[in-house]
Amino acid sequence: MNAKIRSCLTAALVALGTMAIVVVANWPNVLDAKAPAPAKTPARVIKAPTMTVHGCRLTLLPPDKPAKGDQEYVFAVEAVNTTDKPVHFDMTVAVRSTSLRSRFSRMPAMPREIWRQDCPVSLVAGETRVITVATGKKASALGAMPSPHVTVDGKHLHGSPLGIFQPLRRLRTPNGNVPIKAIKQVAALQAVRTRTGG
Amino acid sequence: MFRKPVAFGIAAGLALAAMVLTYASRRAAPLSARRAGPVLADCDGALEQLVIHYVPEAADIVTEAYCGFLSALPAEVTVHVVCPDAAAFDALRRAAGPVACTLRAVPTGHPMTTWSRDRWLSLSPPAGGHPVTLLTPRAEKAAAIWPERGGDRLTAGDIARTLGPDRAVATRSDLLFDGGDFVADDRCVFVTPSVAERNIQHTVADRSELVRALERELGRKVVLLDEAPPYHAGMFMMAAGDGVMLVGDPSLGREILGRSLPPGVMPPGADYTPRTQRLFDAVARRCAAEGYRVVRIPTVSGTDGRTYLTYLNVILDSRSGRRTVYMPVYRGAESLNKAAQEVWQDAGWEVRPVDCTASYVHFGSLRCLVNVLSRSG
Repeated sequence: MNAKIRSCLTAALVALGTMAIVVVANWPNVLDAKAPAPAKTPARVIKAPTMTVHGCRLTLLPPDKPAKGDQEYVFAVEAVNTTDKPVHFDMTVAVRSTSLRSRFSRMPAMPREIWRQDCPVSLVAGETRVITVATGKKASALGAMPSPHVTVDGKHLHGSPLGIFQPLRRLRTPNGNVPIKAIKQVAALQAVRTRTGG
Repeated sequence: MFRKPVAFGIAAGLALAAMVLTYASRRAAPLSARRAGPVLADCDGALEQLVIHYVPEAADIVTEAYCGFLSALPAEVTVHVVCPDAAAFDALRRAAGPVACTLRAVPTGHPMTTWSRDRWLSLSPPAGGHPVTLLTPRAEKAAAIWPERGGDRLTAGDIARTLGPDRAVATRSDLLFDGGDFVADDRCVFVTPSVAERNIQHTVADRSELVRALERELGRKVVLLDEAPPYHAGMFMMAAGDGVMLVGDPSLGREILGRSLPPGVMPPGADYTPRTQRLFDAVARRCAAEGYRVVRIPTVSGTDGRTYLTYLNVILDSRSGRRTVYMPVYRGAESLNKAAQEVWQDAGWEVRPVDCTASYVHFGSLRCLVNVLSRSG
């Protein structure tokens, strides 16, 4: 009897162990188990939005690292003259930002342009230049989610927020109904957004 | 003696693992591998299952609208109430009082807002089958600074988990959007310009790639609007069935309300500028170009681009040959309410007014609060 029980227990333990190893190793991302999980094939992320004007390719460069609130808000535009002639054009660079009416409104306010500057660009044939745009303003002074924008001849390049998110203090007020794990999930979302710039 | 149970255990473990993984992968299969139907039309079929969010802290914003709406729904409708906990569900039940429809709780255990519409799009089940697919956007706007909005990102999964995989599954789109960016009928789905702005050069290379991706995911012809008033589609247009599209018209709104608005109505001030009128007219022209009979309805939009006195933010129900529109109305704008009601009646819809005075100043009305999970017929 002892031998039989031992055999059964051994079989059961091995079965459970095998199942656990195989399931853990092959577990798919189940969106509906907890949160929308990433698709198995990574979704496309265009980190550096690009447009072509006057034969020049303009790219909003992603920041090396997220700026902190007390740092100057700076972004960069790479301009590549793909023609064999000199090119001159007027570029407008701007920063848009938004704000929240309340935690329970449907949306943040419409993004507003809070800073802009005209920037004439001259490139010789084949030249590549990185234009650094320094706003002269601290990131913390630019609202909730500042994002860079470039306009040339009515064509627009919309940037994502550069990983600079200004948490509104009242949104961070501890809420008795908010479990810690949920806050951690939001923090995880922040981390993802910061990394992808999306 | 020792090898036999081990071999048997390994075999049994592999078999169990196969069963578990088959079940799990069925729930997690990407949309392309699943047989999902097209995005649900706004105007066709009888309401079957609805979803609302309820958060006690936002009771002042939504309770009046919910009570008016829930008490008007027929008994055949089930309303899933996504709420942080059972106490919140009980609070809504008490506030709603006796209703004919069935209310079911979807407790989440995490922060959330009270706006259901933008969280997901409902894709019809494959012909004659199950489940419904909740297609969530790739990310929620402002989730990084807004814990409740970060929690909103999870609610499609909460609904799918509560209903079970045979009734609902949730999957994530590669695209950025709000559910309110779309208005659909059985012919096509209209998409706001903001979807282009959010996706082009961020998730797709260009406009044509975006349209292809949307058509693949939504299963209908996509009309990507070039010009439109700011904000969501349900603020300025709504499909009324039979090839009719209702489109807002600020000039009609001004004609009825007059240039000076009643006190307390439209706090940011009305936007009657020619530029805004041109954007509404551009939508009307595009709908006509797509073969729709366009009917204009009085609308007043705010100078903030978010606040709308709109009668297009509706829930439509076609049941047993009877067409009912649950239409938002606003205190202080009675003449506008009446004019809008007449437009819907002329289009063949019986109007059930729902007071959304408390919610529209928070940038949303009835359709923004209510999402439709399934329709029948």
